[in-house]
Amino acid sequence: MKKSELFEEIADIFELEEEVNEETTISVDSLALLSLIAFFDENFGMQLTGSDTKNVSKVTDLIKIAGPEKFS
Amino acid sequence: MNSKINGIEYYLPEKVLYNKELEELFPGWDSSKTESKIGIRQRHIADEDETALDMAEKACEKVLANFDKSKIDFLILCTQSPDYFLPTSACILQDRLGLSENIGAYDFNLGCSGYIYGLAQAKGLISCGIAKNVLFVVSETYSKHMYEKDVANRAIFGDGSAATIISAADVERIHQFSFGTSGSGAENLIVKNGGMRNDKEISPEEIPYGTQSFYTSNHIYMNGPEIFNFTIEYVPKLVANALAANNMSIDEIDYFIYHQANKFMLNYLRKKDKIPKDKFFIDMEETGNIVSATIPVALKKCIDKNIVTPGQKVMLVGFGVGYSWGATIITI
Repeated sequence: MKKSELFEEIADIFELEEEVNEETTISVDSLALLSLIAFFDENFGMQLTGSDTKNVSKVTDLIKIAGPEKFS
Repeated sequence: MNSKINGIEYYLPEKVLYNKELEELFPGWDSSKTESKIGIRQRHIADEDETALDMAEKACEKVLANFDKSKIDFLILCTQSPDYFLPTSACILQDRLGLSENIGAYDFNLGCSGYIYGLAQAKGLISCGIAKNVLFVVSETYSKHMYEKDVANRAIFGDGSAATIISAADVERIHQFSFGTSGSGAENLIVKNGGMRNDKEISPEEIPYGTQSFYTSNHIYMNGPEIFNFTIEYVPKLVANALAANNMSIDEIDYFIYHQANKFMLNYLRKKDKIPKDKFFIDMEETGNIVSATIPVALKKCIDKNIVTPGQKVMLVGFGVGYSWGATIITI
């Protein structure tokens, strides 16, 4: 997946107006987590849990969970 | 002997809890997102002195208004909110409804998969020649299991009841089933205290979880993300197994009614199962997730609105607490 695609998805899930990059701050609430679970399943075949996202505060944290090698 | 669904009616409690009220009770809680993403605007909540048994009685009375009640020869009630540990609610219900004393009556305890299990039991009783007309009622008041500061669950769940008559038929209209169980997920949707394992605590600890929500061990706890992961993993397999059990392909099914858990989850499962939008039921705006009653309420709405018509094949899919899941195909 291209990083730009991830950034678009993040902007959509978190309803962000500004341009998203790896350092963009995000706060994963229950509703956002639902979307992230679906996104991770669809794109990476991964099960994301609440404990995985507990310490997520930036987009780069999500990239680490998915595995940086999955992005270009 | 073959079997068919011979009537469905439902009852929802009078009291309605609107998103706006939750927003006032929980400042900062986003009601518009709950409506747009989860698909719930309001839910019906049983009065303090109204139980699942009371609601079951009302749903049964509605369906018996058009059916000779002396012909009911078996009564099955699915609930996780019984009036008492004992006696069985279905026994009390037999008396309240004035049904024959020469019938079998029992409760079973399942949640969101319950309707499928009840249909299978009714079909089994009929096909063995034990019964001819089974009154099967689902009735649930999760609101009574809920901690008042648990906005997440208060927003999702509603109370409701639905009664179905399953009767002997010339042609089989309730087809083959697929079931599944994994108690490994028990902790993810549970009321820990109050049964035989753990007494209710006098001052239980208030435990924060999710967003702005709290529960205690005396109350219902749901790990929403884990439940979502469970459905993503198991529901597509369940649908495939139910199709295989009936030697059918997905294109041969005219309509799909899944347990109405939440809109976002349903849409994702629909896409994963490659079902077109116009063949898939999503409507929980006015009821919320009413546990075992979502499927019969949906089916009744679909029949009344001619969304499904006689002769069509409809797949019913239930999944949730347990974990427990099941699916079948019916002919309308």
